[in-house]
Amino acid sequence: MAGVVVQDVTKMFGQTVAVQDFSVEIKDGEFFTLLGPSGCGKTTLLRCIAGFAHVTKGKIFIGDRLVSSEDQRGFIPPEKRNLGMVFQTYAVWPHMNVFRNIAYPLKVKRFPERELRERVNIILHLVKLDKLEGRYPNELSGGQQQRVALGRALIMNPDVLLLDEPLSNLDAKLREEMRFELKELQNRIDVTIVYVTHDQSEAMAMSDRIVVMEQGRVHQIGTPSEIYKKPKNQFVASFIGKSNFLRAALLDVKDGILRLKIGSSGIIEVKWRGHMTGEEVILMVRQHNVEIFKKKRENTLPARVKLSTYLGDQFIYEIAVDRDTIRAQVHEEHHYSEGDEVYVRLRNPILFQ
Amino acid sequence: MFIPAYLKYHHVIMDLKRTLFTLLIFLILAVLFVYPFSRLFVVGFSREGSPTVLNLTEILGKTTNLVALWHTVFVAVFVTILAVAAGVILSWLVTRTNLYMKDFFKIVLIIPYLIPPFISAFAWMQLLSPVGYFNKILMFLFHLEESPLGIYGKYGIIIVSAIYTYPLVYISITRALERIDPSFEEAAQIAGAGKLRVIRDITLPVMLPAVGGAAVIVFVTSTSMFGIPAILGIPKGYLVLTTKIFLYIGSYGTKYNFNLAAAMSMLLIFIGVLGLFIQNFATRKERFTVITGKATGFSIIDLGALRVPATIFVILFILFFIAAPIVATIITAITKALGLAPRWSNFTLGNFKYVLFSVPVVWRAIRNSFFLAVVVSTITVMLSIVFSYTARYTEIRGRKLIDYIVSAPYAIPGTVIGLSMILAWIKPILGWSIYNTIWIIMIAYIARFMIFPMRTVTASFKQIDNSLSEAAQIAGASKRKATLDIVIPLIKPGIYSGWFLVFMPALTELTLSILLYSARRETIGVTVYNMTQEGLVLETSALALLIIIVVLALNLIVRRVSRRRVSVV
Repeated sequence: MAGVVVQDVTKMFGQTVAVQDFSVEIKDGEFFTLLGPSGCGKTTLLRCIAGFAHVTKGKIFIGDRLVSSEDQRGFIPPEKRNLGMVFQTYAVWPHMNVFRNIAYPLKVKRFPERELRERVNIILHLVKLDKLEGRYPNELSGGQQQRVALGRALIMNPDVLLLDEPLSNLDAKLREEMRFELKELQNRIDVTIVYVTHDQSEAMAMSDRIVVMEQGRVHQIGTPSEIYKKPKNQFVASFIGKSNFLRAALLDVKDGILRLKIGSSGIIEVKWRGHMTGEEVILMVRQHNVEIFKKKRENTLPARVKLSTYLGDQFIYEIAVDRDTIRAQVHEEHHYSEGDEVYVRLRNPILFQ
Repeated sequence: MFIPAYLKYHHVIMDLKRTLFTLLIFLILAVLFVYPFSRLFVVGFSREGSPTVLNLTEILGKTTNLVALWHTVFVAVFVTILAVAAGVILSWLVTRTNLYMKDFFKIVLIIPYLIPPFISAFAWMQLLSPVGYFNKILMFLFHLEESPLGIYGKYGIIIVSAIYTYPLVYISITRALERIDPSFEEAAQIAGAGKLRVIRDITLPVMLPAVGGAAVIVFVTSTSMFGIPAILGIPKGYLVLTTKIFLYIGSYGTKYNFNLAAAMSMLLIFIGVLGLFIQNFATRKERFTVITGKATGFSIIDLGALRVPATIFVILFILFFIAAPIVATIITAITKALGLAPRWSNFTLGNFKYVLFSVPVVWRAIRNSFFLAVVVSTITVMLSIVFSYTARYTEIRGRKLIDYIVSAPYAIPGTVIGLSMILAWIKPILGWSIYNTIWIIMIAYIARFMIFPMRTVTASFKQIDNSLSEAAQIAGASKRKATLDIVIPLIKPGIYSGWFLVFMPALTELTLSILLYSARRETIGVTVYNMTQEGLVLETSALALLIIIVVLALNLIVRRVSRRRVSVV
């Protein structure tokens, strides 16, 4: 087991910057997730850690070993980094059966036959493939193939396990199951995991810490709850959770209470500890933090229901507030119809400059 | 219930139309394929009208025939080994490593497949015949009395055939290499395997089905080749099955020569079918379906210190096996008289002038070949559209059969197709004969080349989801209009490439033409072949060079115009 240190890493492809001045310290035994939209550089960074890509600038350490830097001579190739990796397409070799796939890393290291068999059996049990060792990949389901890939990645007791969107090719139900399984697996075997995904709920469910990336840059690094509750900027807020954004004019500040004017529809008071200047602010509120009332109450804004969608356990309303449209996610039995004039209260808002 | 009369009749008329259409399709198939091949079968298993296996036993009882069979297999095995080795290595180098000049290599390395094989054989004669340039150079360098290398016989046939066929391997392996999921190799690297180990444990085994498939195609192609063994084998009496059949057909003095040739054809077909059967069996193992379809960014392997040597290796390969025979042909073509040293004062353009303006057969052959190539590629493409459409969109009886019938000649060598055509049309039918006319050549060409557009057009049809034309129908177009507006434009690329895939080989066809031509019905291939037989080396060189130039230029133009890989299979 080992941590990973990424120090000021920049990766360019020709003139295109894939990763820019990226630094992060992944702790020993941590489940760390690189999260961002496609093309944000998360896979490139993972491939730099794996050794499939050379860094243009900066350093990468695995444990206390320098594995990548601008100096090509010190470069340690993937096969010497003692890593495990699960690929997006699983990459289970089609010409080898389950046993041989999982045993391959041991074969390369010339393990004696008996020890090899013992260790493969342990792994087969760990990834729940005990009875399938003789099967070929084309005889396995997607989920089973993934377990093979996982088993193969774990068999050498790697220092770090790299997972490149491993769940993206599974169907929704299996994906959810595998989330729990992966998390549980990590608790059992103590391994540092670097996980790449574009799926925020996946990241939230499993990670100890998350880095939110966009266009090769770090937006925020933190625990899931930090990132959810205190998004550093609008991008993070919009990428994590279901959010609404409203334009507001800042009227005045008194004892940590801000008075905001939302268009021409009304004025609300917001508790906010951060520093705010200027006249324009952006107010962010999660969908489930929008309350709807029939009559005017304290600190509410007049609004109009544009659309209502029934989802079984909840309603999603699209509501026009002044010039902006927001969504509210409510569980109440009370049903509002399209066109209803209502009042909304925005709970726990977050303000951005 | 009352049914209006016009509706009743409409139904009957539609039925009649459909029946006529079906009949027409199967009539065409009968004329092109079923009748000629059944004639071959009948003649092979009968003598003077009564069924017998005597032909087969006589064929198998003669040592010379068994020797030809052995030669065929021997040559094919070595051609396959060499072509696969060259194709795989070159493809890997060009596709997966950081070799220099890759874009240049990509184009140049497929040139041998574009040059008609009998032209290649002739060009190699200029290098390696007893008076060839290579031999002369070696004799001069080492003060030898006799020419050290020989082009006639098995070695010449093997070398020239391997050079002609390796691009088949090269092309299919390149495609497979481009499509292999790069994670397969990366996963092995993560598992601790070094570069060579990854190639050994992952790349090669995963590529095995593609290599096997290509090997079978080379093997079958080699067993059915005629031009190369005819030019390099017959003069020295080194015969393979195709040339042996050819000689049987020509030996009118021999009793039952056609029956024996037909029986020998069965043997040759058997080898081809066996090859295809093995291929089917080998590729049936679905475990090997690893082609992901999308060409992902695979990693390029750094050759390191070997980068320069590897590039030099490929350059030498091109110089020796592609450039040298062409250069030799150029030198011969511009030399004043056979045997003169390649010196400035000995050069002339007279050979071109002579061959183009003083040999009447040449222009006639060019006219015939162009006529045949244009007509045959147009007809085969039109028939393919009808056949593919019928097989896919209609419900006429026996539509599944069409594909099988049309694909049959793939396993049947040209020589055998030619023989079948002779047997089918030698006697007038209803007092009307196409034997000794250009029409028999045309029918033979159609039967032989039908498979190319059939494949490209069928593949294009397959890519078109039914919903596309259904959407047009929902939008108000009739079925006919939907086909015209949606389906036809979408299969256009398939039509164009199918046309070209027939036009090119038809233009320089030799195998069928040599069996079916008659006076004033010569083709380009026949003319070149006859000129080599008459020993007109300078004139033949000039003509061969012109053919090479035209063929390469046409391929280049098509490549430019289509910007896609239409020019090769």
